[in-house]
Amino acid sequence: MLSATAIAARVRSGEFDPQEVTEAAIRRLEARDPQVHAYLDPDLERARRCADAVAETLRRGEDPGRLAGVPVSLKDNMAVEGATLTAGSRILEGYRAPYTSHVAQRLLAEGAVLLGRTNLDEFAMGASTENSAYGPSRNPWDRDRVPGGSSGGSAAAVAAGIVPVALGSETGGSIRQPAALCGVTGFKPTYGAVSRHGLVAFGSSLDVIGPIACHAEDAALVHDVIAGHDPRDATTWTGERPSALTERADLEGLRIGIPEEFLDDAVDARVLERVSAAIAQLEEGGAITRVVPKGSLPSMHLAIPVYYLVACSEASSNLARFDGIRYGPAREEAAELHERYAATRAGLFGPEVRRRILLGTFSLSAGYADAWYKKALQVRRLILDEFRALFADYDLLAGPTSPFGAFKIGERSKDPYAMYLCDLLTAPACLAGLPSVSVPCGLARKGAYKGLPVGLSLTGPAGHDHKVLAAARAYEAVRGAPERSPLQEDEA
Amino acid sequence: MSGSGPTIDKELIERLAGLARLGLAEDERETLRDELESLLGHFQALQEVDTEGVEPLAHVLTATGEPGVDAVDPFEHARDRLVDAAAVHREGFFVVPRVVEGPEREATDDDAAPVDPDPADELD
Repeated sequence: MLSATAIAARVRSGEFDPQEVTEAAIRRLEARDPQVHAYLDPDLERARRCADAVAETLRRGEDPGRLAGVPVSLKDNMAVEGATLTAGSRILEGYRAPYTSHVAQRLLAEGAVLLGRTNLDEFAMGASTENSAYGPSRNPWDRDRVPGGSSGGSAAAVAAGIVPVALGSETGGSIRQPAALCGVTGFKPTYGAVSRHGLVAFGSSLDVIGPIACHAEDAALVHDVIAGHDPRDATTWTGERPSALTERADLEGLRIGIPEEFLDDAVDARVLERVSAAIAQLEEGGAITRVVPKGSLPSMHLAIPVYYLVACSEASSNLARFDGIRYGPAREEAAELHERYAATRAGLFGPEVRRRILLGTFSLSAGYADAWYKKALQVRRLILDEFRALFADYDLLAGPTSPFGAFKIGERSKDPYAMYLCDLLTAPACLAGLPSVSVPCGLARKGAYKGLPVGLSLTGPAGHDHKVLAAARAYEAVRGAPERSPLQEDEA
Repeated sequence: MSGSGPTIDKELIERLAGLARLGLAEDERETLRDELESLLGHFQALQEVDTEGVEPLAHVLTATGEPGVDAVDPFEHARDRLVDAAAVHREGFFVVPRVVEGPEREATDDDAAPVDPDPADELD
């Protein structure tokens, strides 16, 4: 499959017909999606309408834009007017979005072809897509394994070679972790870089939208398109925003710290082996890498409790809007309003969503809020301050994205805490709002994840999205194109 | 790493489920009680950190955005597009169970009619 950059260039030059490009993507989707279940709604007719519009623009002699004719899939928690929007939940079954999200508007304005909406853990709560009410997606590298989550459908669609790029959203690791487990690039921007207008809210002080792509250059291109101020999301920055695509991609002299806290005992030895090899490649490319002795991030081991208390508290508030009255399917008639809310929410939210709402309600409730919610916010500040101190000495921080490779479907779903540990290395950057990318760095050679992809994480200071993506592009240039999943290998 | 967290009793679960408007069956309450207790046990390490004088961090925004323009952003056919998403709606209104206490009476056609059509026009 060609990169988004290559497709857009050839559609703009007239070498490629956008309708043919779209039909080819549709054929890949129809052939491969039955094997991975990446899509909740392929919405092929919408893709064809987008392609027709791009063709019409070209016929008028106008430029369709930077993503001309590029098929892009959206995680099914981003609104497109008139299209289904389930967020992976039964409580939004059959719901159609009344307006289009900012990110989809930006993609359309640059000539992208919106091809379907992808599977996710219900309300983006999970690390495997096993919490989707519509069944799990499968990893294109091994279909008995999870693609990661919660943006697992987007990562699987890209790794299966259906689309060159898809959008994901991240609250605690949901872009980078599935990208790592599927062997593709996933970028989580700085908090506030991309508007969430039209994104189904989960944890509002954490939620961001970012690209998942085969190539780092495509991730930079799509980030450039979707980032920027939007008056409809007051958290988006108004200041100057350098391009991630034109920023010089060079590792020379880059100071990269590897905090020992990222090399936690919980990290699989074979994952660590690949990441160490990748760090050696960064060094060969001219970067100055140094392991930072334990003690630079003394609060990082608390990131999981802090993250789950903060995210679930915010979720318990955000999900209050799902009352069974204004959206979603009709439920059995309870005579009293509050009884109807309770019956609908218990009946249509899945077990993980109920668990998180309850944990968040606990954390915010009278008698417990000071000991749990406030405490979590205080430690969140400690984590932020520790990161800031590190960035006085380093341009970027490197480490593994996920403590382990793609695990088997069912392996972690029985124990909530075992699943929460998937966020061990990604939640800290989310709490601090930092830009962070996961780039594929090879396959594990032995052990439980033999032959499966490993992700290298590169994290920068807030606002340095362009630097993080430039480093990802430079790393890809040094190590060469990432390995392709078996589903892509089939490609003629 | 699992410390011993707070004890969660059945009454607390019932109170939380009430606050969150989650109608849980008896066995679900028991499961969630166990899970919440176990998770808070794992989270117990938080309680051992000295956070005296640390200002809570509710968000990480460093820049303050420009104030928004105080103007109406037209949303065409708001009533159709938003109210139609409800499973049960009638004449541009959500239909809900009765929430006001009072004497029982027979529903009439008047109940479904908009009281004042003007606000709907403004939305459009």
